[in-house]
Amino acid sequence: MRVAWTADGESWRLDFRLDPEDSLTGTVTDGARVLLATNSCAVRLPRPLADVHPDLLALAAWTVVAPYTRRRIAFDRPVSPGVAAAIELGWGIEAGPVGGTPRDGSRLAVSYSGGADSAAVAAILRDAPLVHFQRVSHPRVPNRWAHYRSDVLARLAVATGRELAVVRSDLEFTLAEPRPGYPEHHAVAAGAALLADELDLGGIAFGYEMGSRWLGGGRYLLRYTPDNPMWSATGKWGTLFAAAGLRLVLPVGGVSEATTMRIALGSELREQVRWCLRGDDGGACGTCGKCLYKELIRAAIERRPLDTPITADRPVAAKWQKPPPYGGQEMIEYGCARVPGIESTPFATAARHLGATVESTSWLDRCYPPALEEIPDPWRKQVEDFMAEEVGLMSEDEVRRVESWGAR
Amino acid sequence: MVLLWKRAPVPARLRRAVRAWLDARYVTRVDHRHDIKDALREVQAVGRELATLRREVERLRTQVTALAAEPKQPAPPDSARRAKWDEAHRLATETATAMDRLLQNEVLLWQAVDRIDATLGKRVEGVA
Repeated sequence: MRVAWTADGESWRLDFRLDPEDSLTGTVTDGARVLLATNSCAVRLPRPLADVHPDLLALAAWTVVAPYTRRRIAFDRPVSPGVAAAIELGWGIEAGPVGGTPRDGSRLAVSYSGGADSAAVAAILRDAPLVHFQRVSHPRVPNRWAHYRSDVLARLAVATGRELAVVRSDLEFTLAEPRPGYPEHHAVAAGAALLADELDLGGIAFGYEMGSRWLGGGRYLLRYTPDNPMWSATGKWGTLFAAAGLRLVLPVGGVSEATTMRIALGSELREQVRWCLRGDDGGACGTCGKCLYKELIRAAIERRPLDTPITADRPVAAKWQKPPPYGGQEMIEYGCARVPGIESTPFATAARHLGATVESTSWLDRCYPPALEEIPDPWRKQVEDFMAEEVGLMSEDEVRRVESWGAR
Repeated sequence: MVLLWKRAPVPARLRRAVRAWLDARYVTRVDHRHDIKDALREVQAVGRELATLRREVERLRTQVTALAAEPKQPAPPDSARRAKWDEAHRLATETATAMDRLLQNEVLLWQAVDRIDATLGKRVEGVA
């Protein structure tokens, strides 16, 4: 694979060419199979930059082309030995040319989507700048997904009143199958990477919570994942981000989605929190699968009946009519144990299978301490203090619940 | 007037004159009877009209209720227009799919071009 960046004002265009051994099909770090749609994309920054450090350009490019690269990656500018080594060690891919000097920064920015998890991160890191990724159409790829209201989400991000950089990009349209989306989950930070020197960033904080980081996320079902290749600080992506002087930080990596939602809805960002991709300026759609899932969690923390027009026979509720395991099962257990009248909701079947109780799910209300140890030094204390004061740490028994997840 | 007439005797001529003057100013009994009959007819006619209007309101009200209860269905487009829309949709879908293939082929084409370039480069190096 060969990649080249061209700057045109505030827009940075990435072109890439396949080597003989590369192909249109690829595998993402989480194991998902993807098909390439086209070999160019652009990242539009809020303002033009004189130049961007080659390590940051390489990192951003790698989040787009990694799935399709088989043997080697040739960047258009020499990268530092650390970045080349991280790619070689992590992926077994030869990276070059090598010759640059490494970079570093001091601030921590939040990769802010506007959902409950990243809003919780923004609420914890009160002074951190936010970087919001806004999907825009690709000039060469027909957009069949116009119902995705990235414009609404960007407006909500602006409405937070926080220090904010909105980065507009069509990089998701380089994916033909399964559908447009981040080629690697980390591509959401492509814009933050390009802005890292401009904002003096030494780290980027994501909203990935305990389920995504330690309990297998949507990919691995019922598996404790200390070795998570996407999000562990010492995994291949964690190592590569650190080599580019942009450490990967998960401030809510130790708490569940119930806790992130409680933090987000209890914060001053409450009015701007939006996890639905389809809703307009009037509010969330209330009818998509994500709205249903998040409503279960919200009803659970507010200890009230489920408020949804979705019935069990709707396609978005189909997976809850089947027996477990489910992706994000810990939150389904948590919700089913707490929502009054669950037996007359689309989660009735799941609730019957899971048989969860408030006691069996109370560990999801506290913070898993090893997640705090993963946070790099300059920012650990702030998060530790917040978790100790606002959430509380898990007992040894509760820690065992995390570490034996799926082994019961 | 009656009291006045009893107390003060009024000459008969004057009384007649006043009476005639008064009678001339008022409608006659016969006319009055006619008027009352006419008024009664008018009232009866208005009553009948009111009953008709009530029935009409009732009829319209049931019609409105029935319309509101009916599922709102716009008039189906005529078949020629529907065929046109179907055709446009088919064309858009097929064009988008063809565009996908075209873009992917472009990627593969560049891959082939680069491979040939590399082979030629090596050959040129070998000759030199």
